Amino acid sequence: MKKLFSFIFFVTFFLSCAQEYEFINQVITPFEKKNPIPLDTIFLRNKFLLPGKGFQSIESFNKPNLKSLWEPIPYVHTPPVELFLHNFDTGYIQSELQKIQNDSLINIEQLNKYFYLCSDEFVKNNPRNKYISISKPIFNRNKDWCFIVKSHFIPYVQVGGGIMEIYVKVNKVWVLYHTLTLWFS
Amino acid sequence: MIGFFSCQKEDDSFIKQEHTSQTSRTKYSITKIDYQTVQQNNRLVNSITKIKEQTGTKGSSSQNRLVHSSTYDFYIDTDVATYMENANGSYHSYTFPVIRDNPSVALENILFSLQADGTYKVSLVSYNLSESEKEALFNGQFVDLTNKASIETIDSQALIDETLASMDQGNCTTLIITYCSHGNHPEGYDNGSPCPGYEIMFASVCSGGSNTDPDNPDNSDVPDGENNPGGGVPNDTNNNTNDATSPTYNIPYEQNLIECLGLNSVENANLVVSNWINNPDNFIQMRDVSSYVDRNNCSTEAQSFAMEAIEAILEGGEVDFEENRINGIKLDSNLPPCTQNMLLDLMLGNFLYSDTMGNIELINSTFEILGGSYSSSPMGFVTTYKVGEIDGNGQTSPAELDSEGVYQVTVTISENLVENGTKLALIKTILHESIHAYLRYVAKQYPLLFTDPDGEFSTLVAGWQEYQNNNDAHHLYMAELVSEMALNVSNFIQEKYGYPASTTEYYEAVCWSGITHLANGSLNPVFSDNFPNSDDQYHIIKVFNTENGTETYSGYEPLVDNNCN
Repeated sequence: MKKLFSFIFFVTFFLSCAQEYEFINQVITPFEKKNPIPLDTIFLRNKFLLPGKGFQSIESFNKPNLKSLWEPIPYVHTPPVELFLHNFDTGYIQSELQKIQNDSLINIEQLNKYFYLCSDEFVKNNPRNKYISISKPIFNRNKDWCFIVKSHFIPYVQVGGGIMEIYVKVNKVWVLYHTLTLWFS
Repeated sequence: MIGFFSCQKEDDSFIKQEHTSQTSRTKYSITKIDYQTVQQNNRLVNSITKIKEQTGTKGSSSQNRLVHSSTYDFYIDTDVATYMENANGSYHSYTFPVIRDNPSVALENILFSLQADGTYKVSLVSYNLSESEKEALFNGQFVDLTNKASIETIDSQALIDETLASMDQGNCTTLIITYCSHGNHPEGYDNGSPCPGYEIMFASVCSGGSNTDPDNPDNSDVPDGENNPGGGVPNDTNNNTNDATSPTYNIPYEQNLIECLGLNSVENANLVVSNWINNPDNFIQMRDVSSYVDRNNCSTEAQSFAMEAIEAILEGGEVDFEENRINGIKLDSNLPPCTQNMLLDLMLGNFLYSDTMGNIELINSTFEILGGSYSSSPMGFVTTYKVGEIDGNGQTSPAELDSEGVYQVTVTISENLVENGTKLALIKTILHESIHAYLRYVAKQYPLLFTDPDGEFSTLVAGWQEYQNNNDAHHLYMAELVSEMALNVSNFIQEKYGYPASTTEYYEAVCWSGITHLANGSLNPVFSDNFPNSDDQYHIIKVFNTENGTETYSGYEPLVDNNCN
């Protein structure tokens, strides 16, 4: 019985990790919208971002605040926040964020080949690249909604920023639902 | 040393005076302590809280250092206190100044005297002094306090239930007042060091009778305290309960503030501020400002904060000295002094400066909106400035709604920039991030402004529609403001920091920092439209990188080689 539990645990853990990397591989691609030149390499900082640390607390992922963040600029085509909140319990978001606080290692083996993990030293020595950092993806209970926190930074010109991208799974494909700005730079 | 001894009923005093030069006669150590030290004593704080029926201060300040009792109609000034302790540590007392709207005596103190059960007995000590005596006392000169001090116990419940009840049974209470002069009157310390002064003893004669011998100062006049290890304070048959105090008075708030702000000098004279300081109606707020500069040793940044605070109060604004917040702008305690000063200078705008300062309208309007947003609008909006380890020169958080319904925005300035960048780079960054915060404020306060494709924020709306990224939208908007930002930064830094005039192009190049590219790495179209030539683009990047301290290039130097760390 003990062996069975261990087996189930490892299978679940493996599937969960696999799902996270599958999501990253699917949504972070060299073909960025509005970018006319496809990248051959995505320079990824070698640690996961930890949303909930710094000025943005885990508690801030609550309904009023997410609603407040929802309209980066009021715009007629902004999708409804209610649908997101209906599918994504904020208490669950907070508990999931809590879980990832001590897990910042990125497994390069699980990522597509166009990802290049960059150390701080590499960033320092190659300031003209655009670097991105990502959080672990946070799924809802049904695993059909997901969000990821993403930041970009170009050291050479000191340009950066942080966003939260919300995706919904439609016909087994992750589709961008909305983007919230988490910080300006 | 001079000694006064009295044996009295509370309102029928008999005081005996004795002069001596022996400092050892003072059996108590006397220490002036501050608010923080008081707060460390939970029992004392609880005792103060008992008296406090209602807290609050006059005006808009929310400081809690002034404890108000509506029952007794006075304030306890917890900013300053005298702590007295006997030799073996078994007894101590705290004495605070009392402030009344209409004082009937020259000086009133409230005394918290440790009792045997570990609680504090609370008494009001009044000194009936003439103006000249009061002034002499405040100046540390000798004042004969004979027949001029009285004590009244006010700790209603504790006293009625315990202390007074026990006094009725024949116990005696002695009040020892020790006056510690800072001057060196003839009876002072022989070696010229500050004088511990003289003692007054009020011995209340009770039904059991008592006699405190002033010439035989053993520990029998010291109450038995909970910390008494068993020696030194006998459980004498009369169960004496003595209370030690020392005249304690507020710092001369008005004078301190005027001197700290240099308002007594011709070049800094400011009639509006001076009148405000000297107006008794503003005493409570003025006291807050004065205490603040006093606590911060009248540092340059404390002076700037105080001036900005007074200006805000004069305009009906709100200042919180605990939070370091003036209206909607809060300065985090981790800000280095130079950076805090710079922020205050930007907030102050033209205030205090000459009329020769050029246009800084963008700076003024940005900080007026952020600085005035907390109380002047129905929507609470607080922008906190701090430094931190971040990517880039600065970061601005979105407006986070706190539990009290106030939007909180945090602007983080890079530690690297503070360390390695010039003052010019720092001012540019603060303005850049403040414009982000300003746009967040406008989006929350006037959301409809952001829906109009032909309105003031049309570039912002178009940017969002085009790039679906708010960072890009803000930076497109800011790119169109670069000339104005440069003009403001140039005028400000020349006036305040003595920068050379240089060229408009130079200041513009500095202000392009952080705006030249979009999130996807491509050039900001406003930048590439203005500077289609790549050499011009690289020149601008080299200029702001040099000022930011992130790169060095041959032939490029900062306009002024300084920093703000």
